[in-house]
Amino acid sequence: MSEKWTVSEPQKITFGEPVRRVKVRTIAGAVNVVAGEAPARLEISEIDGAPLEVTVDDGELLITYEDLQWKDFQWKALSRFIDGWRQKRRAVVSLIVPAGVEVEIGAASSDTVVSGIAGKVRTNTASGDVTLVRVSGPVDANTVSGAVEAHGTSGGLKINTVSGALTVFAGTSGALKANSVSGAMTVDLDRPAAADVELTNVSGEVAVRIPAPADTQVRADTTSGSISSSFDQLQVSGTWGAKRITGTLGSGTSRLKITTVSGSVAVLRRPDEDDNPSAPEDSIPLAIDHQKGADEA
Amino acid sequence: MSRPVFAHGRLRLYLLKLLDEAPRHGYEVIRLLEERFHGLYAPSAGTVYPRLAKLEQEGLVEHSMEGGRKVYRITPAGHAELEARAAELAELEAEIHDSVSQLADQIREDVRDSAQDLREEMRRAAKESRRQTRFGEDASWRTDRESWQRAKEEWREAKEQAREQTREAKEQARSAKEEAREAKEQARAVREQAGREARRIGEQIKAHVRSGDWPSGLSEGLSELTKTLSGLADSSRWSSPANGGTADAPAGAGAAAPQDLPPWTRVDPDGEPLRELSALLDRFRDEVRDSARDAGVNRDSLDHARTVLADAASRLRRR
Repeated sequence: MSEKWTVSEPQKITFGEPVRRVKVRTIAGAVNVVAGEAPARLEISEIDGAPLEVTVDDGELLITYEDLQWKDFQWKALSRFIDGWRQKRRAVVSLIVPAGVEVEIGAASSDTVVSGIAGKVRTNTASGDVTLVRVSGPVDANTVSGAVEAHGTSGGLKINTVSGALTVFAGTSGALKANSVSGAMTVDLDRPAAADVELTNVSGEVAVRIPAPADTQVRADTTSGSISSSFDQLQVSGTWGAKRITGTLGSGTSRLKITTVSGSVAVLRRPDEDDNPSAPEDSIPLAIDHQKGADEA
Repeated sequence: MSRPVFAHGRLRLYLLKLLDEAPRHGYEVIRLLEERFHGLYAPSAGTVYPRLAKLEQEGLVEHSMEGGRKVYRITPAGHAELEARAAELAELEAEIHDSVSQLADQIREDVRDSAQDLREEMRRAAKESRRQTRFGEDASWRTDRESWQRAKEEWREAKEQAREQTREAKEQARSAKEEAREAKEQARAVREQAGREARRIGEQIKAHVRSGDWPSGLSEGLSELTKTLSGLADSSRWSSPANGGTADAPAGAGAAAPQDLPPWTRVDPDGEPLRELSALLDRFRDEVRDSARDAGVNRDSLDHARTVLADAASRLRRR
């Protein structure tokens, strides 16, 4: 069964049939995909320019402009097509879908939020920022200048940016592999034996924070960037020119590999914290015995 | 972009509502927010704690320590504030359940803020770490200066080393040249002496030949030559040719100044020693052969010459 809508002004749609896969292709505005209880719901809260076409066909929900293809969001084509359409089309598209769906988003300058999804997530954007919150499925995110922020993700992350900054925090238990030309990378690992992390950057700075005691094999190289480590167990070598950090923390279950050309590299120890680092005056433990606290309340 | 759910102090309002329901500690507030948003929105600790602290400053909430944790409860002032804004709260709650895009905006803002905080924190930590682990306690410009200093030091050492090597190489070259010069000197002295001896012996042989006593002249000459050449081949003479040469040389030879030598013994002092020596030997051979041809050679004298020359050659070879 196939259903089709053409949306030219703000509208909400609740889908009758189950959705297993979501594909969204937009130019400017925002795309939000959050996990929630069925049925799947769509909210187009703002729309300017050409109408969006919404189709549900055999469990696949497609939201796109008539003339837009997924191939338009591939690396080579991206810059070519942005210029033509960016000014003319704008839409804010929000979806509540079951957590298990597969998500594919192509957006030129739209900011993207994906929250709570457990299926495969793939996003290609040019200047749009990508925010991933508690996504447990594997993520493949590509941006040109858009920033990527991953909070509490637990699946594997594969991220490529040109100049967009990458921030990964509140834990990742899947492998993280990121490449950038000049985007800064900030990775805060909160588990001692987090999965393998491989970060490659040309001129962007890379900072990785590991909890102590850690369980990681570390290898960081930079051709001309500065380098620093706050772990005594790691060796910092090379005084000028190429520099390197090597060593094994704990039994070295996982691997951390950083490579830059001119970007600075820092391997930092995560401060011992049960509470929130931004509010150090507050001594409330965040994760200890909250059941007891709730009972008291 | 649409208005965030918690814009303009609305998160603050919602926190008051949660604490109005019951006293709670910070983590519980976060968990409840998450719950109320059906798991769609998980505010970070960095968002919630500072706001709780601010509410406390304003006197709307207070805290007490229970089991090592701060438990927040609403004050009468806080309760009054909440009642005054009941309509706003109702609207907020409706929106929370209604608008996904506003929720998403809220999520984005929240994550962005937390990410920003984290980046700044880690940048500070990286700077600190760079300072502590590498170059002591001063600011980053000092890092540059110290590494520059270090680089200079290394460069200076490398230069020193290179200079030392150059000096050694020069030294070696100079001493090699010196040795070569000495060797040449010695070779020339030996050559001259050999020339003198050969000439003298040649003269003796000629004298014998002239007096008709060729065999004895030849044997005498050759034995004389052998003796003299073996003296020249003495290693002590090679090392100090000036002294040894004159001291051990027969009186006649020693007295003979180079300019008194016959023309065939003349050598080019700047020439290649080996070539000069072989030329000298050629001339010596011609001299002896000419004399022998003039006077004739018998078997005995030939045998004798053989023995003597072989001996002389082996002695000359021996340094």
